Amino acid sequence: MDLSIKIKNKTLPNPVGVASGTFGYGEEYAPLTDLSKLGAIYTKAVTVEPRPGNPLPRLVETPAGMINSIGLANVGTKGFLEEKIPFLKTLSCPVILNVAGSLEEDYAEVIRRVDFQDAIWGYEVNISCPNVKHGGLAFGTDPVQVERLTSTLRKLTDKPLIMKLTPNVTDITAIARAAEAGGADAVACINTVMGMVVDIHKRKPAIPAGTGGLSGPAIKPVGIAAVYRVSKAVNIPVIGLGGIMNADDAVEYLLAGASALQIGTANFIDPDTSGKVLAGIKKYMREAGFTKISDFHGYF
Amino acid sequence: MKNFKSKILSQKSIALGYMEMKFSWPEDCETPKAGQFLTIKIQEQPIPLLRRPFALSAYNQEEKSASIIYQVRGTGTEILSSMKDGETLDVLSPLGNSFTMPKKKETPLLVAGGIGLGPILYFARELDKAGYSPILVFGCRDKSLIPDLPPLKNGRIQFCTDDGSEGFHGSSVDYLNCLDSSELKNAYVYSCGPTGMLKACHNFAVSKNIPSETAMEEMMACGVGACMGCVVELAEGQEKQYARVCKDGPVFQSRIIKWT
Repeated sequence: MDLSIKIKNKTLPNPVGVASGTFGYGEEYAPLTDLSKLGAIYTKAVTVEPRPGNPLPRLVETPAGMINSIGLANVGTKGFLEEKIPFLKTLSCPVILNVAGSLEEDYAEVIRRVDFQDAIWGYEVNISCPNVKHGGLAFGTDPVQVERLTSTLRKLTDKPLIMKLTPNVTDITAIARAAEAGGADAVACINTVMGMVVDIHKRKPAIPAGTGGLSGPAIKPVGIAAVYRVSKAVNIPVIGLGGIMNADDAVEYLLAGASALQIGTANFIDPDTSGKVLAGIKKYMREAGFTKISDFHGYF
Repeated sequence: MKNFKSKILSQKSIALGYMEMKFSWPEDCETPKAGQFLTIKIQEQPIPLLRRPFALSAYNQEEKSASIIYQVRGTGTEILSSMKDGETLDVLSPLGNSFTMPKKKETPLLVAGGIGLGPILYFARELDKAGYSPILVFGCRDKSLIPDLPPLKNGRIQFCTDDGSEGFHGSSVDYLNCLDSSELKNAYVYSCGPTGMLKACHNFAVSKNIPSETAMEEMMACGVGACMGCVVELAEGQEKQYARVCKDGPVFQSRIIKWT
Protein backbone atom coordinates (compact mmCIF):
# COMPACT_ATOMS: atom_id res chain seq x y z
CA MET A 1 0.00 0.00 0.00
CA ASP A 2 1.55 3.29 -1.08
CA LEU A 3 0.50 6.14 1.19
CA SER A 4 3.11 8.65 0.04
CA ILE A 5 2.27 11.93 -1.66
CA LYS A 6 4.66 13.84 -3.87
CA ILE A 7 4.68 17.63 -3.68
CA LYS A 8 7.21 19.34 -5.97
CA ASN A 9 10.41 17.35 -5.59
CA LYS A 10 9.68 15.91 -2.16
CA THR A 11 7.51 13.20 -0.69
CA LEU A 12 5.22 13.17 2.33
CA PRO A 13 5.31 9.66 3.87
CA ASN A 14 1.56 9.58 4.41
CA PRO A 15 -1.39 11.92 3.89
CA VAL A 16 -2.24 12.74 7.53
CA GLY A 17 -0.58 15.86 8.95
CA VAL A 18 -1.46 18.14 11.85
CA ALA A 19 -2.72 21.64 11.11
CA SER A 20 -0.95 24.87 11.94
CA GLY A 21 -2.08 26.54 15.14
CA THR A 22 -3.40 23.33 16.65
CA PHE A 23 -0.16 21.54 17.40
CA GLY A 24 2.27 24.24 18.55
CA TYR A 25 5.75 23.37 17.35
CA GLY A 26 5.32 19.65 17.96
CA GLU A 27 6.97 19.47 21.36
CA GLU A 28 3.76 20.11 23.27
CA TYR A 29 2.18 16.91 21.94
CA ALA A 30 5.26 14.68 21.93
CA PRO A 31 4.22 12.83 25.13
CA LEU A 32 0.75 12.12 23.75
CA THR A 33 1.17 10.86 20.20
CA ASP A 34 3.88 9.28 18.07
CA LEU A 35 5.21 12.21 16.06
CA SER A 36 7.24 9.91 13.80
CA LYS A 37 3.99 8.56 12.32
CA LEU A 38 2.71 11.96 11.21
CA GLY A 39 2.53 12.75 7.53
CA ALA A 40 3.72 16.26 8.42
CA ILE A 41 3.70 18.82 11.20
CA TYR A 42 2.49 22.19 9.96
CA THR A 43 3.94 24.50 12.61
CA LYS A 44 2.29 27.35 14.44
CA ALA A 45 2.57 30.40 12.15
CA VAL A 46 5.86 32.27 12.29
CA THR A 47 6.18 35.99 11.54
CA VAL A 48 9.38 38.05 11.23
CA GLU A 49 9.04 39.53 14.72
CA PRO A 50 7.38 37.85 17.73
CA ARG A 51 3.69 38.66 18.20
CA PRO A 52 1.87 38.70 21.55
CA GLY A 53 -1.48 37.92 19.91
CA ASN A 54 -4.95 39.30 20.48
CA PRO A 55 -6.60 40.40 23.74
CA LEU A 56 -8.51 37.79 25.71
CA PRO A 57 -10.82 35.98 25.70
CA ARG A 58 -9.55 34.32 22.55
CA LEU A 59 -11.79 31.28 22.40
CA VAL A 60 -15.47 30.48 22.44
CA GLU A 61 -17.15 27.14 21.84
CA THR A 62 -19.98 26.92 19.29
CA PRO A 63 -22.30 24.06 18.27
CA ALA A 64 -19.93 21.41 16.87
CA GLY A 65 -17.11 23.92 16.64
CA MET A 66 -15.08 26.67 18.23
CA ILE A 67 -14.15 30.21 17.31
CA ASN A 68 -10.65 31.44 17.95
CA SER A 69 -9.04 34.82 17.78
CA ILE A 70 -5.45 34.04 18.69
CA GLY A 71 -3.98 36.72 16.43
CA LEU A 72 -0.90 34.81 15.25
CA ALA A 73 0.75 34.83 18.68
CA ASN A 74 4.20 33.38 17.98
CA VAL A 75 7.87 33.48 18.89
CA GLY A 76 9.06 35.24 15.70
CA THR A 77 11.74 34.03 13.29
CA LYS A 78 14.66 34.42 15.70
CA GLY A 79 12.74 32.66 18.47
CA PHE A 80 11.77 29.89 16.07
CA LEU A 81 15.36 29.29 15.04
CA GLU A 82 16.72 29.42 18.59
CA GLU A 83 13.95 27.75 20.60
CA LYS A 84 11.96 25.53 18.26
CA ILE A 85 14.27 24.23 15.54
CA PRO A 86 16.47 22.14 17.92
CA PHE A 87 13.48 19.93 18.80
CA LEU A 88 12.06 19.89 15.27
CA LYS A 89 15.46 18.71 13.99
CA THR A 90 15.07 15.53 16.03
CA LEU A 91 11.87 14.51 14.26
CA SER A 92 11.69 12.05 11.41
CA CYS A 93 8.41 13.41 10.00
CA PRO A 94 8.38 16.37 7.59
CA VAL A 95 8.17 19.79 9.23
CA ILE A 96 6.31 22.38 7.19
CA LEU A 97 6.76 25.94 8.41
CA ASN A 98 3.61 28.03 8.39
CA VAL A 99 4.65 31.54 7.34
CA ALA A 100 2.59 34.64 8.11
CA GLY A 101 3.04 38.37 7.74
CA SER A 102 1.45 41.77 7.35
CA LEU A 103 3.23 42.79 4.14
CA GLU A 104 4.54 40.80 1.18
CA GLU A 105 8.04 41.62 2.35
CA ASP A 106 7.36 40.08 5.77
CA TYR A 107 6.56 36.69 4.24
CA ALA A 108 9.67 36.92 2.08
CA GLU A 109 11.85 37.87 5.03
CA VAL A 110 10.78 34.84 7.09
CA ILE A 111 11.67 32.50 4.22
CA ARG A 112 14.99 34.26 3.58
CA ARG A 113 15.99 33.83 7.23
CA VAL A 114 15.02 30.17 7.67
CA ASP A 115 15.47 28.58 4.25
CA PHE A 116 18.99 27.32 5.09
CA GLN A 117 17.52 25.02 7.74
CA ASP A 118 17.41 21.44 6.46
CA ALA A 119 14.85 20.59 9.14
CA ILE A 120 12.26 22.62 7.23
CA TRP A 121 10.70 20.41 4.56
CA GLY A 122 8.61 23.16 2.99
CA TYR A 123 6.37 26.14 3.60
CA GLU A 124 2.69 26.67 4.08
CA VAL A 125 1.92 30.32 3.40
CA ASN A 126 -0.85 31.68 5.57
CA ILE A 127 -2.72 34.14 3.40
CA SER A 128 -5.99 33.44 5.08
CA CYS A 129 -5.87 34.20 8.79
CA PRO A 130 -9.06 36.04 9.75
CA ASN A 131 -7.62 37.25 13.04
CA VAL A 132 -5.05 39.87 12.08
CA LYS A 133 -5.80 43.42 11.06
CA HIS A 134 -3.20 43.70 8.31
CA GLY A 135 -2.15 41.02 5.86
CA GLY A 136 -3.67 37.62 6.52
CA LEU A 137 -7.12 37.47 5.02
CA ALA A 138 -6.53 40.61 2.93
CA PHE A 139 -3.94 38.74 0.84
CA GLY A 140 -6.00 35.64 0.42
CA THR A 141 -9.07 37.29 -1.05
CA ASP A 142 -7.42 38.97 -4.04
CA PRO A 143 -6.19 36.73 -6.90
CA VAL A 144 -3.76 39.39 -8.14
CA GLN A 145 -2.08 39.69 -4.75
CA VAL A 146 -2.03 35.91 -4.30
CA GLU A 147 -0.27 35.37 -7.63
CA ARG A 148 2.22 38.15 -6.96
CA LEU A 149 3.03 36.95 -3.43
CA THR A 150 3.37 33.33 -4.56
CA SER A 151 5.62 34.38 -7.41
CA THR A 152 7.82 36.44 -5.05
CA LEU A 153 8.20 33.60 -2.58
CA ARG A 154 8.75 31.06 -5.36
CA LYS A 155 11.99 32.82 -6.28
CA LEU A 156 13.29 32.53 -2.72
CA THR A 157 13.17 28.79 -2.18
CA ASP A 158 13.42 25.43 -3.88
CA LYS A 159 11.37 23.82 -1.11
CA PRO A 160 7.69 23.00 -1.62
CA LEU A 161 5.43 26.05 -1.36
CA ILE A 162 1.86 25.47 -0.22
CA MET A 163 -0.62 28.36 -0.24
CA LYS A 164 -3.29 28.05 2.47
CA LEU A 165 -6.58 29.41 1.15
CA THR A 166 -9.49 31.04 2.91
CA PRO A 167 -13.11 29.98 2.38
CA ASN A 168 -14.17 33.58 3.06
CA VAL A 169 -14.25 34.50 -0.64
CA THR A 170 -16.80 34.45 -3.44
CA ASP A 171 -14.85 32.02 -5.61
CA ILE A 172 -12.06 30.00 -3.99
CA THR A 173 -11.14 28.41 -7.35
CA ALA A 174 -10.01 31.82 -8.68
CA ILE A 175 -7.64 32.17 -5.72
CA ALA A 176 -6.36 28.62 -6.18
CA ARG A 177 -5.66 29.22 -9.87
CA ALA A 178 -3.80 32.42 -8.98
CA ALA A 179 -1.63 30.48 -6.52
CA GLU A 180 -0.89 27.85 -9.17
CA ALA A 181 -0.05 30.54 -11.72
CA GLY A 182 2.35 32.13 -9.23
CA GLY A 183 4.24 28.86 -8.86
CA ALA A 184 2.64 27.19 -5.82
CA ASP A 185 3.32 23.46 -5.50
CA ALA A 186 0.09 22.76 -3.63
CA VAL A 187 -2.83 24.54 -2.02
CA ALA A 188 -4.41 23.85 1.37
CA CYS A 189 -8.18 24.24 1.75
CA ILE A 190 -9.50 25.58 4.07
CA ASN A 191 -8.51 27.95 6.82
CA THR A 192 -11.15 28.86 9.39
CA VAL A 193 -14.53 30.31 8.41
CA MET A 194 -15.31 33.75 9.76
CA GLY A 195 -17.83 33.45 12.59
CA MET A 196 -19.20 35.33 15.56
CA VAL A 197 -20.85 34.63 18.90
CA VAL A 198 -22.72 37.29 20.85
CA ASP A 199 -22.83 37.13 24.64
CA ILE A 200 -26.47 38.01 25.28
CA HIS A 201 -25.85 38.61 28.99
CA LYS A 202 -23.04 41.10 28.46
CA ARG A 203 -24.72 42.29 25.22
CA LYS A 204 -21.48 42.32 23.27
CA PRO A 205 -19.38 39.97 21.13
CA ALA A 206 -18.03 36.96 23.03
CA ILE A 207 -14.48 37.77 21.87
CA PRO A 208 -13.14 41.33 21.80
CA ALA A 209 -12.32 41.27 18.09
CA GLY A 210 -15.99 40.55 17.34
CA THR A 211 -15.44 37.97 14.64
CA GLY A 212 -13.01 35.07 14.71
CA GLY A 213 -12.18 31.85 12.92
CA LEU A 214 -14.68 29.00 13.18
CA SER A 215 -13.22 25.48 13.11
CA GLY A 216 -14.27 21.94 13.99
CA PRO A 217 -16.92 19.57 12.63
CA ALA A 218 -19.24 22.50 11.93
CA ILE A 219 -17.10 23.56 8.94
CA LYS A 220 -16.41 20.14 7.41
CA PRO A 221 -18.96 20.47 4.57
CA VAL A 222 -17.48 23.88 3.69
CA GLY A 223 -14.00 22.38 3.51
CA ILE A 224 -15.07 19.40 1.44
CA ALA A 225 -16.89 21.63 -1.04
CA ALA A 226 -13.79 23.81 -1.35
CA VAL A 227 -11.52 20.80 -1.93
CA TYR A 228 -13.94 19.36 -4.49
CA ARG A 229 -14.10 22.58 -6.49
CA VAL A 230 -10.43 23.51 -6.19
CA SER A 231 -9.18 20.04 -7.12
CA LYS A 232 -11.06 20.33 -10.40
CA ALA A 233 -9.69 23.83 -11.03
CA VAL A 234 -5.94 23.24 -10.57
CA ASN A 235 -3.34 20.64 -11.48
CA ILE A 236 -1.38 20.77 -8.23
CA PRO A 237 -2.13 18.70 -5.10
CA VAL A 238 -4.87 19.93 -2.80
CA ILE A 239 -4.43 19.45 0.93
CA GLY A 240 -7.77 19.19 2.68
CA LEU A 241 -8.61 20.35 6.18
CA GLY A 242 -11.54 21.62 8.16
CA GLY A 243 -13.41 19.58 10.74
CA ILE A 244 -11.73 16.19 10.25
CA MET A 245 -12.48 14.24 13.43
CA ASN A 246 -12.11 10.62 12.29
CA ALA A 247 -11.18 8.37 9.38
CA ASP A 248 -14.59 8.65 7.71
CA ASP A 249 -14.20 12.43 7.53
CA ALA A 250 -10.73 11.97 6.08
CA VAL A 251 -11.98 9.55 3.43
CA GLU A 252 -14.66 12.06 2.45
CA TYR A 253 -11.95 14.64 1.82
CA LEU A 254 -9.83 12.17 -0.16
CA LEU A 255 -12.76 11.12 -2.35
CA ALA A 256 -13.61 14.79 -2.91
CA GLY A 257 -10.15 15.37 -4.34
CA ALA A 258 -7.68 15.92 -1.51
CA SER A 259 -4.22 14.41 -1.90
CA ALA A 260 -3.26 15.01 1.74
CA LEU A 261 -5.00 16.09 4.92
CA GLN A 262 -4.51 18.06 8.10
CA ILE A 263 -6.05 17.34 11.48
CA GLY A 264 -6.82 20.59 13.32
CA THR A 265 -9.31 21.13 16.12
CA ALA A 266 -9.59 17.36 16.70
CA ASN A 267 -6.06 17.41 18.19
CA PHE A 268 -7.50 19.34 21.13
CA ILE A 269 -10.05 16.64 21.83
CA ASP A 270 -7.94 13.57 21.11
CA PRO A 271 -4.21 14.23 20.65
CA ASP A 272 -3.85 10.92 18.83
CA THR A 273 -6.53 11.64 16.20
CA SER A 274 -3.97 11.68 13.38
CA GLY A 275 -2.76 8.16 14.23
CA LYS A 276 -6.31 6.85 14.37
CA VAL A 277 -7.25 8.59 11.11
CA LEU A 278 -4.25 7.08 9.34
CA ALA A 279 -5.12 3.61 10.60
CA GLY A 280 -8.71 4.13 9.43
CA ILE A 281 -7.62 5.25 5.97
CA LYS A 282 -5.48 2.12 5.61
CA LYS A 283 -8.42 -0.07 6.67
CA TYR A 284 -10.69 1.68 4.16
CA MET A 285 -8.09 1.22 1.42
CA ARG A 286 -7.71 -2.49 2.18
CA GLU A 287 -11.46 -3.00 2.09
CA ALA A 288 -11.92 -0.94 -1.07
CA GLY A 289 -8.98 -2.57 -2.83
CA PHE A 290 -7.09 0.71 -3.12
CA THR A 291 -3.31 0.44 -3.35
CA LYS A 292 -2.33 4.13 -3.43
CA ILE A 293 -3.79 7.46 -2.32
CA SER A 294 -4.45 8.54 -5.89
CA ASP A 295 -6.94 5.63 -6.13
CA PHE A 296 -9.33 7.84 -4.18
CA HIS A 297 -9.53 10.42 -6.89
CA GLY A 298 -11.92 10.50 -9.79
CA TYR A 299 -14.93 8.79 -8.27
CA PHE A 300 -17.21 11.72 -9.01
CA MET B 1 1.14 13.95 31.32
CA LYS B 2 -0.78 11.06 29.93
CA ASN B 3 -4.04 10.42 28.10
CA PHE B 4 -5.74 7.55 29.96
CA LYS B 5 -9.03 5.83 30.61
CA SER B 6 -10.29 6.00 34.16
CA LYS B 7 -13.17 4.38 36.04
CA ILE B 8 -15.53 6.54 38.07
CA LEU B 9 -15.34 5.29 41.67
CA SER B 10 -17.93 7.56 43.23
CA GLN B 11 -19.84 10.75 42.61
CA LYS B 12 -21.84 12.81 45.09
CA SER B 13 -23.36 16.22 45.57
CA ILE B 14 -21.40 18.21 48.16
CA ALA B 15 -23.34 21.50 48.05
CA LEU B 16 -26.08 23.11 45.99
CA GLY B 17 -25.00 22.61 42.35
CA TYR B 18 -21.55 21.28 43.31
CA MET B 19 -20.40 17.70 42.74
CA GLU B 20 -17.35 15.73 43.83
CA MET B 21 -16.21 12.89 41.60
CA LYS B 22 -13.59 10.28 42.52
CA PHE B 23 -11.98 8.18 39.79
CA SER B 24 -9.14 5.72 39.33
CA TRP B 25 -5.61 6.89 38.62
CA PRO B 26 -3.29 4.64 36.57
CA GLU B 27 -0.21 3.05 38.16
CA ASP B 28 2.05 4.34 35.40
CA CYS B 29 0.92 7.96 35.54
CA GLU B 30 2.90 10.50 37.52
CA THR B 31 1.55 11.69 40.87
CA PRO B 32 -0.38 14.94 40.47
CA LYS B 33 0.31 17.99 42.62
CA ALA B 34 -2.07 20.53 44.14
CA GLY B 35 -2.88 23.20 41.57
CA GLN B 36 -2.53 20.86 38.60
CA PHE B 37 -5.54 19.99 36.50
CA LEU B 38 -6.95 17.49 34.04
CA THR B 39 -9.17 17.63 31.01
CA ILE B 40 -12.02 15.22 30.35
CA LYS B 41 -13.44 14.30 26.97
CA ILE B 42 -17.10 14.37 27.82
CA GLN B 43 -18.44 12.24 24.97
CA GLU B 44 -17.91 11.27 21.32
CA GLN B 45 -20.60 13.54 19.92
CA PRO B 46 -19.41 16.97 18.76
CA ILE B 47 -21.68 18.92 21.12
CA PRO B 48 -20.07 19.79 23.44
CA LEU B 49 -16.91 19.62 21.37
CA LEU B 50 -13.94 20.55 23.53
CA ARG B 51 -12.49 18.70 26.49
CA ARG B 52 -13.40 20.26 29.83
CA PRO B 53 -10.69 21.31 32.32
CA PHE B 54 -11.07 20.57 36.05
CA ALA B 55 -8.62 21.21 38.89
CA LEU B 56 -7.71 18.18 40.97
CA SER B 57 -9.16 18.33 44.49
CA ALA B 58 -7.54 15.22 45.96
CA TYR B 59 -5.17 12.36 45.22
CA ASN B 60 -4.92 9.10 47.15
CA GLN B 61 -1.63 7.30 46.65
CA GLU B 62 -2.69 4.04 48.38
CA GLU B 63 -6.02 3.79 46.61
CA LYS B 64 -4.64 5.14 43.31
CA SER B 65 -7.53 7.53 42.94
CA ALA B 66 -8.01 11.24 42.35
CA SER B 67 -10.96 13.61 42.70
CA ILE B 68 -12.39 16.78 41.24
CA ILE B 69 -14.99 19.22 42.53
CA TYR B 70 -17.10 20.80 39.82
CA GLN B 71 -20.16 22.94 39.39
CA VAL B 72 -22.98 21.81 37.12
CA ARG B 73 -23.37 24.82 34.85
CA GLY B 74 -23.56 23.70 31.22
CA THR B 75 -24.10 20.78 28.86
CA GLY B 76 -20.69 19.24 29.55
CA THR B 77 -20.95 19.25 33.33
CA GLU B 78 -24.60 18.11 33.15
CA ILE B 79 -23.49 15.03 31.19
CA LEU B 80 -20.64 14.47 33.63
CA SER B 81 -22.95 14.69 36.63
CA SER B 82 -25.25 12.04 35.13
CA MET B 83 -22.42 9.50 34.82
CA LYS B 84 -22.49 6.53 37.20
CA ASP B 85 -19.89 4.60 39.19
CA GLY B 86 -17.97 2.23 36.94
CA GLU B 87 -18.39 4.32 33.81
CA THR B 88 -15.24 5.27 31.91
CA LEU B 89 -13.69 8.72 31.66
CA ASP B 90 -11.18 9.85 29.00
CA VAL B 91 -8.65 11.85 31.05
CA LEU B 92 -5.60 13.90 30.08
CA SER B 93 -3.47 14.70 33.15
CA PRO B 94 -1.62 15.93 35.11
CA LEU B 95 -1.47 19.30 33.36
CA GLY B 96 0.00 22.66 34.32
CA ASN B 97 2.10 23.70 37.30
CA SER B 98 1.33 23.60 41.01
CA PHE B 99 1.33 25.75 44.14
CA THR B 100 4.69 26.44 45.76
CA MET B 101 5.26 25.04 49.23
CA PRO B 102 5.78 27.89 51.68
CA LYS B 103 8.85 28.21 53.88
CA LYS B 104 8.57 26.29 57.13
CA LYS B 105 7.99 29.39 59.24
CA GLU B 106 5.19 30.75 57.02
CA THR B 107 1.45 30.52 57.68
CA PRO B 108 -0.47 29.53 54.55
CA LEU B 109 -3.68 31.52 54.05
CA LEU B 110 -5.72 29.63 51.47
CA VAL B 111 -8.68 31.45 49.97
CA ALA B 112 -11.29 29.72 47.81
CA GLY B 113 -14.51 30.69 46.11
CA GLY B 114 -16.87 28.46 44.11
CA ILE B 115 -15.12 25.66 42.23
CA GLY B 116 -11.84 27.21 43.36
CA LEU B 117 -12.36 25.09 46.45
CA GLY B 118 -11.00 21.97 44.69
CA PRO B 119 -7.32 22.88 44.27
CA ILE B 120 -7.26 24.92 47.48
CA LEU B 121 -8.63 22.00 49.48
CA TYR B 122 -6.07 19.65 47.93
CA PHE B 123 -3.25 22.03 48.85
CA ALA B 124 -4.62 22.65 52.35
CA ARG B 125 -4.62 18.90 53.07
CA GLU B 126 -1.07 18.55 51.70
CA LEU B 127 0.12 21.40 53.89
CA ASP B 128 -1.74 20.00 56.89
CA LYS B 129 -0.07 16.64 56.39
CA ALA B 130 3.32 18.31 56.05
CA GLY B 131 2.93 19.94 59.47
CA TYR B 132 1.92 23.47 58.50
CA SER B 133 -1.06 25.21 60.10
CA PRO B 134 -3.04 26.33 57.06
CA ILE B 135 -6.08 28.58 57.37
CA LEU B 136 -8.55 27.71 54.62
CA VAL B 137 -11.08 30.48 54.00
CA PHE B 138 -14.03 29.54 51.82
CA GLY B 139 -16.40 32.29 50.76
CA CYS B 140 -19.82 31.89 49.17
CA ARG B 141 -23.26 33.46 48.91
CA ASP B 142 -25.10 31.49 51.61
CA LYS B 143 -24.99 28.27 53.63
CA SER B 144 -26.55 26.14 50.87
CA LEU B 145 -23.21 26.36 49.07
CA ILE B 146 -21.12 25.20 52.00
CA PRO B 147 -19.85 21.63 51.64
CA ASP B 148 -19.37 19.22 54.50
CA LEU B 149 -15.59 18.99 54.87
CA PRO B 150 -13.54 16.90 57.29
CA PRO B 151 -11.52 19.21 59.55
CA LEU B 152 -7.80 19.81 59.15
CA LYS B 153 -5.54 18.33 61.83
CA ASN B 154 -3.17 21.25 62.27
CA GLY B 155 -5.01 24.05 60.51
CA ARG B 156 -8.58 25.27 60.37
CA ILE B 157 -11.37 25.88 57.87
CA GLN B 158 -13.32 29.12 57.99
CA PHE B 159 -16.55 29.55 56.05
CA CYS B 160 -17.72 33.03 55.08
CA THR B 161 -21.17 33.84 53.70
CA ASP B 162 -22.35 37.02 52.06
CA ASP B 163 -25.67 36.83 53.93
CA GLY B 164 -24.24 35.68 57.25
CA SER B 165 -26.28 32.45 57.19
CA GLU B 166 -23.23 30.50 58.37
CA GLY B 167 -19.72 31.28 59.54
CA PHE B 168 -18.24 34.72 59.16
CA HIS B 169 -20.64 37.35 57.78
CA GLY B 170 -18.79 38.90 54.84
CA SER B 171 -16.37 38.05 52.07
CA SER B 172 -13.22 35.96 52.37
CA VAL B 173 -11.09 39.05 52.12
CA ASP B 174 -13.17 40.79 54.80
CA TYR B 175 -12.23 37.83 56.97
CA LEU B 176 -8.54 38.10 56.09
CA ASN B 177 -8.66 41.72 57.14
CA CYS B 178 -9.92 40.64 60.57
CA LEU B 179 -6.98 38.32 61.19
CA ASP B 180 -4.62 39.10 64.00
CA SER B 181 -1.40 40.78 62.90
CA SER B 182 0.58 37.89 64.40
CA GLU B 183 -1.16 35.50 61.95
CA LEU B 184 -0.26 37.78 59.07
CA LYS B 185 3.36 38.27 60.07
CA ASN B 186 4.70 35.36 58.05
CA ALA B 187 1.67 34.66 55.93
CA TYR B 188 1.60 33.41 52.34
CA VAL B 189 -1.67 33.85 50.43
CA TYR B 190 -2.94 31.24 47.94
CA SER B 191 -6.20 31.84 46.10
CA CYS B 192 -8.48 30.23 43.54
CA GLY B 193 -11.96 31.33 42.55
CA PRO B 194 -13.80 34.15 40.79
CA THR B 195 -11.60 36.88 39.28
CA GLY B 196 -12.96 39.57 41.61
CA MET B 197 -11.98 37.49 44.63
CA LEU B 198 -8.53 36.77 43.21
CA LYS B 199 -7.92 40.46 42.61
CA ALA B 200 -9.06 41.27 46.15
CA CYS B 201 -6.68 38.61 47.54
CA HIS B 202 -3.86 40.07 45.49
CA ASN B 203 -4.59 43.59 46.74
CA PHE B 204 -4.77 42.28 50.30
CA ALA B 205 -1.38 40.57 49.94
CA VAL B 206 0.17 43.70 48.46
CA SER B 207 -1.25 45.86 51.27
CA LYS B 208 0.24 43.52 53.89
CA ASN B 209 3.46 43.04 51.96
CA ILE B 210 3.12 39.26 51.91
CA PRO B 211 3.64 36.88 48.96
CA SER B 212 0.65 35.62 47.04
CA GLU B 213 -0.07 32.94 44.45
CA THR B 214 -3.23 32.57 42.46
CA ALA B 215 -4.65 29.78 40.30
CA MET B 216 -6.25 31.26 37.19
CA GLU B 217 -9.05 30.00 34.98
CA GLU B 218 -9.61 30.76 31.27
CA MET B 219 -11.48 29.16 28.41
CA MET B 220 -9.21 26.37 27.16
CA ALA B 221 -8.88 24.37 23.94
CA CYS B 222 -5.75 22.18 23.94
CA GLY B 223 -4.73 22.25 27.63
CA VAL B 224 -1.09 21.50 26.74
CA GLY B 225 0.27 24.87 25.61
CA ALA B 226 -0.11 24.48 21.85
CA CYS B 227 -3.02 26.70 20.86
CA MET B 228 -2.28 29.92 22.79
CA GLY B 229 -6.00 30.30 23.51
CA CYS B 230 -6.15 30.40 27.32
CA VAL B 231 -3.85 33.33 27.98
CA VAL B 232 -3.92 35.87 30.80
CA GLU B 233 -2.45 39.34 30.44
CA LEU B 234 0.67 40.03 32.48
CA ALA B 235 1.56 43.18 34.38
CA GLU B 236 3.83 45.78 32.80
CA GLY B 237 7.48 45.02 33.23
CA GLN B 238 7.08 41.30 32.61
CA GLU B 239 9.08 39.80 29.78
CA LYS B 240 5.93 38.78 27.89
CA GLN B 241 2.52 40.40 27.50
CA TYR B 242 0.57 37.17 27.91
CA ALA B 243 1.07 33.82 29.62
CA ARG B 244 -0.72 30.53 28.94
CA VAL B 245 -2.91 29.39 31.81
CA CYS B 246 -2.59 25.73 30.80
CA LYS B 247 1.19 25.56 30.43
CA ASP B 248 2.75 28.57 32.19
CA GLY B 249 0.08 28.30 34.92
CA PRO B 250 -2.54 27.80 36.16
CA VAL B 251 -0.68 28.98 39.28
CA PHE B 252 1.02 32.37 39.03
CA GLN B 253 2.60 34.79 41.46
CA SER B 254 -0.29 37.25 41.69
CA ARG B 255 2.00 40.25 41.21
CA ILE B 256 2.83 39.24 37.63
CA ILE B 257 -0.84 39.29 36.57
CA LYS B 258 -2.39 42.43 35.13
CA TRP B 259 -5.48 42.92 37.30
CA THR B 260 -8.04 45.12 35.57
